[in-house]
Amino acid sequence: MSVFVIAILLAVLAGIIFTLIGLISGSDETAILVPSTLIVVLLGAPPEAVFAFFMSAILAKHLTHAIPTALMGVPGDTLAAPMLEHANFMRRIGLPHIALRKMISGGIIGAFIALPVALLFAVFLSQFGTFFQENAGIIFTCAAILIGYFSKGRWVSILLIVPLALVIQGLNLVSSTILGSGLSISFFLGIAIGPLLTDLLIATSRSARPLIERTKPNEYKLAPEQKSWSGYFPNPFKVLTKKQASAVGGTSFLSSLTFALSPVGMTSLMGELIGSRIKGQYKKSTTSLATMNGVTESTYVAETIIPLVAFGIPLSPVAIGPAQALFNAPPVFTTEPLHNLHTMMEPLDFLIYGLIGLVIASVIAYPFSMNYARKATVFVLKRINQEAIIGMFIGIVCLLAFYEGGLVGITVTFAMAMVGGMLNRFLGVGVGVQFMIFYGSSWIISTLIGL
Amino acid sequence: MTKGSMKAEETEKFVEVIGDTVSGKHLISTIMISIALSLAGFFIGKNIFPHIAPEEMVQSYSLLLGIAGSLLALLLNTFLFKPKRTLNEVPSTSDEIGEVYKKLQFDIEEERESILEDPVIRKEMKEQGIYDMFIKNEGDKRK
Repeated sequence: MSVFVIAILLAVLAGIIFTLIGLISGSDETAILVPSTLIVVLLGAPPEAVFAFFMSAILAKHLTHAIPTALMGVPGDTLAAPMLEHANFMRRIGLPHIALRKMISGGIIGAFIALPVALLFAVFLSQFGTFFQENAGIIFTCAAILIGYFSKGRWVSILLIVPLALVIQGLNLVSSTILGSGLSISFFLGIAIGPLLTDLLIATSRSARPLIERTKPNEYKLAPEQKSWSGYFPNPFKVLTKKQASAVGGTSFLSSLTFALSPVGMTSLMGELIGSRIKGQYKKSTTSLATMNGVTESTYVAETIIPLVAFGIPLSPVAIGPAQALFNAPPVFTTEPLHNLHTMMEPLDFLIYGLIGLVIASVIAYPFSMNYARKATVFVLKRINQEAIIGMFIGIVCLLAFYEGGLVGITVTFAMAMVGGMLNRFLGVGVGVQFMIFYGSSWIISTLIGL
Repeated sequence: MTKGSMKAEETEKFVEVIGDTVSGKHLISTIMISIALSLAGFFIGKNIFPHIAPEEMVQSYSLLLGIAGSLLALLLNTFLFKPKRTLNEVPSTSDEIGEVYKKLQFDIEEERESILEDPVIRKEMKEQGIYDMFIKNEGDKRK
């Protein structure tokens, strides 16, 4: 099979799977995208196809994460959180379906603007690539400090950089002594599922359990759809007004040039920037929602492409989170020595296969969310239990960790998840900071105490 | 993982895990089933594929079989247990818009003004059939 065909098939697969996953509220991007991408990489898919898969996955997921956000008032994932306020207003006045259509149409426009813009910017930045690669250790450490400062925990995140680096290097030393080679997937899977594992650990602790104990099941409210629409594949430019489309275009363009800022931060910033100039709550909310969902797409696309094309090392919040496996998925992709999509693909390949991913995801997720949003939400809420979803994640994580390092891999993953999850939950040391520390840890420890 | 929580679960108690309520006992079962089936798939693959597949693909194919195990576990668990959520489908949102605005501390008059001023929004609202909600009947559609 040619690379082209595999890319299309994988993009279709990602489009279908992630359209469905987007429906599940609260599904964390990193915890889901990292293992799925890893699977595709480890199964031996060519790099172009992996890239098309990833692009399709993020677009599909971000189009459908608007569904729980708009219809139920539950954020589809962390990126949807800034949109809740406006979405809730629209739901209160009984127009969640309009909110949804504005969001999805904004999202699709945002993604298609971001791909070429980010790619051009990345090509420009790539002249500084060697500098970044040679100083990766110190850059990751500085990034850990910077992200740590802006994380919920603030000073504690900075204070714990060295101790956490020591813990990681210690675990690494133990595991490489036993196995003869270092682990990597096991570590970042551990960081990614940390928050989930913490909830499970709390549930098993007699003293901590009351923290998350509930006496009745969660209640979800779902407003009825007022007016359905005709036609199967709607034109996003017709769903948005001209002003809204240009607001989406402008903010998506701007946010495609930023690659070091948090996507959640950019989303709220751009939404605020546009929304604050508009009079009338209906207009303000619909425009802000379209803009914000556009920005969630564009930052995601840009923050994946820029570090990937320009540097080859994960230097953005998305790259160290959900896009992780495009940079580092040993033994197939590695950052040290640099051998990943950065070295294996030309900028033109990124454009072609990125477009394949985006187009396919649009064809699958866009009409689906426009036409069947409500039915799908009811199905997920009524039929799919949360226990089964959690179980599947744990199963997949164990499988991948076992694949990398047998029982040692599983143990390392859970040790890492225990430490990282607790730090995240109780001290606000975010997952991004932990990933940065993971990447900087060998430099930090060898520089400070010598290893 | 220890299951010291068994005693604490008398009748109907739930724990909230990544944003949704689950039953502790069911969760333990689903996790066990899922881990077992995933790793079983992987091991079966490791034993079978060396006979039928090229050597360098054995790891990957086994991984794929493991993933199939995880998906099977998802299906099985979906049939075994019921979701612990309640869904409240409000039959009709004839919520009085003006009241909602007041509650949210927005100005309905300013809203009407901005709609009347803007032909594009007016057209959009008419197409969606929501124009009357805002303009004609003081926001009070049929109760």
